[in-house]
Amino acid sequence: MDKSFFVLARKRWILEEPPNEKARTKWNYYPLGESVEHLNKDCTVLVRFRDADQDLITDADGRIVEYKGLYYLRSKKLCMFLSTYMPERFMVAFFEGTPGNARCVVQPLDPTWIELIAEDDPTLRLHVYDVPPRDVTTITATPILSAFYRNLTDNDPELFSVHVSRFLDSPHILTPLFAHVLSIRSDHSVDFVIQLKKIAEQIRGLLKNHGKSVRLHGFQTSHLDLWAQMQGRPVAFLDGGVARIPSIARLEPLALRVGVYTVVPGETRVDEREKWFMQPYVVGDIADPKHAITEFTDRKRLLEAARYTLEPLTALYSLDQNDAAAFLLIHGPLVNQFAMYDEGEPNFIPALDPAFLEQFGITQAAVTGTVQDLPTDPKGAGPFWKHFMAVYTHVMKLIHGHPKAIAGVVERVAGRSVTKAVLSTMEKDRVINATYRKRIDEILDRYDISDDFLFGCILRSGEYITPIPVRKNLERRARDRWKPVVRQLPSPSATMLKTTDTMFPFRIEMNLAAVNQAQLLIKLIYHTARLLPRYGFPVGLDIADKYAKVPDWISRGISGEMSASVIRRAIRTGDPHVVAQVRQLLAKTPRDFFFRPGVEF
Amino acid sequence: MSLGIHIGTVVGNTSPQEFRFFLKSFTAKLGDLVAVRMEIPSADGKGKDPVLVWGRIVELGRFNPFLPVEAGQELAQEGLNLLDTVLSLSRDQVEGKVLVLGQTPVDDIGRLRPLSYPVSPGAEVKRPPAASVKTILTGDKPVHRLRLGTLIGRPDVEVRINTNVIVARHMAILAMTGGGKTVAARRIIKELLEVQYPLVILDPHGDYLGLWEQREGFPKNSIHLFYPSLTVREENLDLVGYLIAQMTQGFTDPQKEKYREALERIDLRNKEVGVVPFIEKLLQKLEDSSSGDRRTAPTIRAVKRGFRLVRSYVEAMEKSNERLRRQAALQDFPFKAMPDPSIRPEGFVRPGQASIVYLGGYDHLTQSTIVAVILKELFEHRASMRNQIPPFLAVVEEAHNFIPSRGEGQAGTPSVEIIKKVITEGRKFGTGLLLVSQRPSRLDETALSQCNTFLIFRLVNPRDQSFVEKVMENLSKADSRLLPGFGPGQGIVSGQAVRFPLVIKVDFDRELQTQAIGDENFLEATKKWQESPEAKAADRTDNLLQELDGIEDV
Repeated sequence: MDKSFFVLARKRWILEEPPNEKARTKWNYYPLGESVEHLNKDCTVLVRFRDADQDLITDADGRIVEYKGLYYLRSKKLCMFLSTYMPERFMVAFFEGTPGNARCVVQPLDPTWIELIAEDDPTLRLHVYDVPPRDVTTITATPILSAFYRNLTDNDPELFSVHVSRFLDSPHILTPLFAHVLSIRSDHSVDFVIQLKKIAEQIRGLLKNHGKSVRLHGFQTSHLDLWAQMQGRPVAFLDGGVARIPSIARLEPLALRVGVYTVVPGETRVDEREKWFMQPYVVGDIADPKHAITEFTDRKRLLEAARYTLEPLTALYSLDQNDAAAFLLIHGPLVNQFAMYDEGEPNFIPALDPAFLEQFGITQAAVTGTVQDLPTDPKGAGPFWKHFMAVYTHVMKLIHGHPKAIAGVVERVAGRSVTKAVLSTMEKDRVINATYRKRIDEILDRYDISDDFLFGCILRSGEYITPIPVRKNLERRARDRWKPVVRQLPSPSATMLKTTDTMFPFRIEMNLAAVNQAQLLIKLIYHTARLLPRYGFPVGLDIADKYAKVPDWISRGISGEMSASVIRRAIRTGDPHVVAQVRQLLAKTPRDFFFRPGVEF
Repeated sequence: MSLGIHIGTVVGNTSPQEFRFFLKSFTAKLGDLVAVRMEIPSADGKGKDPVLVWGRIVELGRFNPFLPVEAGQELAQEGLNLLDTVLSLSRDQVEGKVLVLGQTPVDDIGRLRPLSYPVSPGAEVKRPPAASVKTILTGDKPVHRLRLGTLIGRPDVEVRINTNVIVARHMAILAMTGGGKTVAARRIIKELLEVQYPLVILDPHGDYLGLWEQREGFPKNSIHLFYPSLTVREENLDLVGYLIAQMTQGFTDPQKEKYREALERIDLRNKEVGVVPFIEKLLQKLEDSSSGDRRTAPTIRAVKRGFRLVRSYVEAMEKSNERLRRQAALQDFPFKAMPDPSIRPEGFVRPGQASIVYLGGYDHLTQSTIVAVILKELFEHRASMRNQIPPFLAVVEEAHNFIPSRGEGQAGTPSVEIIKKVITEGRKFGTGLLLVSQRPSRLDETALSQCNTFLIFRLVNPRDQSFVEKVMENLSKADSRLLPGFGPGQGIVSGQAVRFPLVIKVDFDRELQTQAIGDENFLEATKKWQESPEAKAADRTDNLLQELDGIEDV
């Protein structure tokens, strides 16, 4: 997406050539020669280099300038470094980016390094391109560019942020990357990648070198070590699935099932090693039958709210049944954004059936005991304790304070909740100031840079950030009467973990108990993801996903039984007209030509 | 009638020929017979009839949807044990493919008919009880059946095949070495001996000598061991001419003239002479008749050369065979010179008799010639309708040596012609063949295709597999895929002797395996080896001769 080139210059020319010497010492100009290829004058440049102690230095204030017909890179940090220390005979500067926005990596170069490249591949004919240069040369020829880049990045991948290039160039990422680039303003889209890289490099540098409450962590892959630690400690994986009935036209999914796969690593008796638990729910059966139907139910919202509530409810139930589990991992967020399921118009959803809730020990007393300030029915029916919002908050509080470690793993991370939390924490820790924070926020907003892209570039394989509380439900988005309840929804601690260089990182949300064992938990998730190298997602959750997923053939089976049941009931009415109607309805699918305009049946 | 236990459910697209089903773990095996109850349109087309569909499991696949393939890569790379991780191994699924054999009425499973309506998806697949399977295997016709073994997955279900079809319409047993073909042949022979059926066993390697060792187990039978011995009588005066034609390039017309002249001068009335002495006589007669005529001298020399060639062949083979018979392991076996099949066929074929002709030591050409002579004479006796001998079954071991394909060269194999004749006309005259071979693709295709029953064991060679597929009309692709995976004694029996192809395990009659010629154990033999007295004498003499060489001539 971005163009790149090298500027290779002789030390003597940089330091002693009359205009250069003056420009460098007086204005912090690093000389680039007569051409900067596609870069504009005034192009902003992020400059990276290693100082004498081999520490990585980043200068975000770099800029291309022109002086007496020559181009320079203005960078105070770089020029100060050069004035005190310049060990080699050559300096190479690698530029990539768009005309107005670029990054530059500067590195000293030994002449033997150039000779080795020439020996490795004589067909490059370096001398034709004035390499090594008498004064300065700009390298744009692809074969030489590739040879230089390959050798330099092999030597110092961190300096060149090779993991970022590998991530952004991987086939899995390219498609969502293009989709994202096309979704933002055209003038921003050309700069997106270089901006992303620049911000990622900056934040990575901050987290790595200056992080306090939130830092970068990493570990090496060591299955033997991890699984030795996990011997005999059960781990549960949970996921949910929905069933549709295709033969009944326009019917929304009506059934949910939540599956839990619990496994004891190291147990050799298969019957003892694996436990499978499936809890099916019919959405219609969990709604309160006594609730007054005053508004049209939004069935899609009902299903979403039901799924978000029933999965953690099943998690609690499963932990009650199997209290030996060391960890319980849920496929998806631990805490969802729930403010929109507040049962009001135009997205009305009914309350939950008290009889159903009672099966799980959820009573009015239990809910009002954990959730304060519930809104009350204006008609005097008491607090809205059985509404989804109340029940969900109750369940979330139980999950959050549960003594067992419970975590949600989100594979495609949308939004910027973790980025915001990280920036806020760094601001609180005075790692960054408010001005920088504001500037970063602006860029993130402008380019719509989400957690998945940003942390995909920040993190290397096996790295994660310190778990920090993330606010998932913002009070301001809730209706007034539910604001006190939304405020009580817990903020899980979240981290971003990257399992392979070429995959998006995923977010892990943890309850309090999980935070206390975060290192082992994250290590477990990382290694279970390494067991699925191509997918890069925890294999236990993949198993739970397959287990809970309602396959088409089962849906078809339900469909068949449901159809038979409907027909039976129609026949019992004794009305041939009803039977004919039902038969016609069941004979058609929503995509049948019968439903096209103008077709009568 | 009980249909047995429920082992699975029919899924997917079905046809009247095959269907797939999900199998409950560990409830059935490859080759098992299964039954499905369903309805088919009635004969008048107005209603439905309940039927039982019978089928055989021809494919079984096992997969675990919860165990990703890519996890294997990481496990291998890291040297991890799956049990130490969170991977699952308990939820594997077994999917099977069933070849439909036919359908029967629910209340009469003796009558198997073709299925003409697709199997009902969702129907229950049952594993029928042994009694029902036995009925479906044998049908309701009361015919004699010999026991071959059991179904491969059902040791409680014995497999019996129609005896008359085997002895009348020929059978082929094909397998690679160690597949179980000789074991199967011995099993059939044992069963036939019990019904007193005459057998002629042409045995190049002595695989059937165990029958004689176990003769006490066959009190109603007589087991005879023969070694090849060709004699000339007045009735088969032209035997040497036949041998000349088979073993050499044959005589030209002038040479034949000289041969006949010599033959006419020998009087064999009421005499029986061995082939070698008879050739000596012929040579003598030729010598006597040579009058110094320069024109006929080359012809006589050529005829003599032919005689000497046949004599040397026969002498060498007789010695070789004799040496084999005298070896320690076989010296207790009462071998007798085989009777002349042209004059004394009843010496070979009698009710209850098994005649084992041990062909060890003879080269390919001579073995083939001997087999040709025996089969030709016995078949002609049967074809002449003189009733001198009863119907019989000839067992031809290493059949690819006696009836090779055209590609292998039939010219140097005298037995080809007579075996082809027997296999095409034998049924009319009560002469059956049991061909046993380890290289089916080297057998004559036409001859093999005339066999009405096949018993196929393990075959790994792709050429052999495709050849068998080509020759056997009712061997399905699914069945042929089973062939390389069979263990010893496991195979498919197919053809007229059974109602449908069956995957079986042949009974192993351990007692019929001869101890005299066991499995090769050359390491043990080398340990026990001792130099023969002749070799010691030769060594000693050599030393003495060297000493003598040192003494100057007197």
